[in-house]
Amino acid sequence: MLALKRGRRILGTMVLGTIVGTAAACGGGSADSAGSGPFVFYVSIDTSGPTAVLGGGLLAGARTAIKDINAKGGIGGRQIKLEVANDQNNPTKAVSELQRRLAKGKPDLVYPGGSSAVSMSMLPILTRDKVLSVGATSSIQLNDPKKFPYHFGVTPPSSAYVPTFVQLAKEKGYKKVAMIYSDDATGQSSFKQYEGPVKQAGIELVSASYDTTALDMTPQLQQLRAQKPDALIVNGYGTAVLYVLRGRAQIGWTLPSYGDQLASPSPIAGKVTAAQIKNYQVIMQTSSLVGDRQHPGLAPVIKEFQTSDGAKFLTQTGVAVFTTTYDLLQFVAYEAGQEKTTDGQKLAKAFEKFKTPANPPWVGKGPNGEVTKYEYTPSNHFPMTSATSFKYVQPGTYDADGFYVPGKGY
Amino acid sequence: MTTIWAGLATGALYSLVAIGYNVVLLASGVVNFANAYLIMIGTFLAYVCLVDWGLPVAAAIPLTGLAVAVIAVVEERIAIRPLLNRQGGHAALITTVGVGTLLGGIAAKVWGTEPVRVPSPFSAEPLTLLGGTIQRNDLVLILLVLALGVGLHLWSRRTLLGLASLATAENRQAAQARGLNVRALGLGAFALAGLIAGLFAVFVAGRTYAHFHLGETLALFGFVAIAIGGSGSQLGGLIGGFAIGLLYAVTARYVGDSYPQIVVFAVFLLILLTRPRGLFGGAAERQV
Repeated sequence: MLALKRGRRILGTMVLGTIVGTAAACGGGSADSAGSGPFVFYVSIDTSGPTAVLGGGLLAGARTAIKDINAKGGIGGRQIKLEVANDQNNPTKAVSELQRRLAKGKPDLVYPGGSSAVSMSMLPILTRDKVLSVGATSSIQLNDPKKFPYHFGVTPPSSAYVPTFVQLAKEKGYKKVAMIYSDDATGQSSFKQYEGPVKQAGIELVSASYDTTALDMTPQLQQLRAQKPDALIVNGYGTAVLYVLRGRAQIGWTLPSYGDQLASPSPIAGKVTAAQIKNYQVIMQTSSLVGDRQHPGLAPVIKEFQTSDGAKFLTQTGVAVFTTTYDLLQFVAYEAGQEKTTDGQKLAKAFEKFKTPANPPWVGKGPNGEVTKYEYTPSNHFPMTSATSFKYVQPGTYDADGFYVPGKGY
Repeated sequence: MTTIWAGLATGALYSLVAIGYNVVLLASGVVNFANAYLIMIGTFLAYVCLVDWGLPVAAAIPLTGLAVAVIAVVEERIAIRPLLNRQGGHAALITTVGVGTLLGGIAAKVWGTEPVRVPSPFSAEPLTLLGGTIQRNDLVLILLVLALGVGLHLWSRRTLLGLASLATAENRQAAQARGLNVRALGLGAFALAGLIAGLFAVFVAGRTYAHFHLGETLALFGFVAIAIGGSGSQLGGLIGGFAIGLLYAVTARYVGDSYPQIVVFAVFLLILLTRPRGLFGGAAERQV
């Protein structure tokens, strides 16, 4: 009998605890989301795992922007408070960290991870809780306003790079193009993105895939070579790109070759010979290239990056990674000021009719923010670009300011 | 012919792993999955010797060999021997997987997740041979692995130490009863496998780069190589590795890029079903 009473008491406590916990989790009355107190920017990023270098650059950019915006009064009068969750680029860890944060109340803005897989795992929860998120992951699946109405991308989707190639292929008069791609979701997605536009341009596309564990791509390259294409598109990252370039040189195949959006940022400097990169070009955003016209506010911001904790990442990741978070916070602050609200749902609606101002406070998207425009619509939550937003250049490395210098390091 | 050379060069990597597996298997009855990861660690240590310390290749190769041998001995003392005394080979197999994972993690932490180029002792200019092209490094790798496999096969069949290793692999208790020092044999086998992994690391890296993921790929296909060739047979492991490399390359070139793994694993299954002890593995008697 005593045990029964104790059991009921425990059960009662558990029910009460659940009600209190659920109420807290719903977050309707939490201080963070009530439009008062600090403006919480929750960043889920890898700070100690395999992509920690990327995380370092993103955080340095965010901290520089926060310092600047807070000095000017914050977002809608609220000081920005940065909260960092180390997800180690692991979707499961990212979700459990996010759940823990939501149990305390909703953040005002979320940066949902450094990879599309992490973003995909976080977005259903953020959507359920109607939390505004702005990210730099580029999978086309993330651009689904019906499914994720409060999520916006700030970097171009992978498909945005394709028109630049098509334009180049037409100019060069290519009749047949080959593509070698990784036989996984990312590689297949990249191939699909090229397939339609290339064929629409009247260019034949032939392809070969390689297994992600492959140590040699010579047979696939020979198979493509036998079909006599005019140019080659290379998809992959890291060792895969190195194996393709190595195999291409081994069979003496020096046709014009172009890295896709994944292969281009692969750090190959110092790992390839001149023969291996002969006629190989990478695609870069013009705003990250040395010598291109930049926003007048970028130079002083770079000085800030160079004195930040993450300065060492500037030559590793390039300035574009830093300006990703710097610019997204400036954009949110600007729009919150225009709309006079910090409410995530209202801001999401406002983003959908936003037009780039003449002299935007975000500095990494060209002189007037025209290279990548944060101009969204109800059916497109990824930024706008054009074929001139990107350029094919020789492989290179980053200089001290984080600009890509074609030919440097080879 | 270029496809054949490419297949043989990749196959040499799998054969090398299979040889390392067999060295340990023959002397201690354990499949040391960490062997592929020892090769991976060897590629990074070769980088340290050649680039960070600026040593000549002639010094870097033996130094890397010794360093990896020491790591393999530590593995045997910490992760294998305590289990062999209590549980036998099956539990030890699991811990070798754990050691491999640990080595991969250490490599990622110390040298990062991006591939690293280890300077090759040979020119990067491809060589035209028998109507095909091949990198000089790859040709040397193929020849060295062939020599190693044949040499170890002869050693295991014709020397007293080799026969003692075979006896230990067949029946550890009986070998012990006959006065063989099975512990010393086991330890020596780990050291030898580590030494081989380290000595070949420069040539492996010349083909694959040093990369923390390298161990995973090599471990899987190295295992398939000994399963096809016959566990415990150095000649079988050697041929199994080259066969996989060739099969993979020829399928990718002439059948279709979607099929190489399917074909390799179909052959693997076929051999498991028809000759469970592999092409060169002998039948073993077991008391039931």
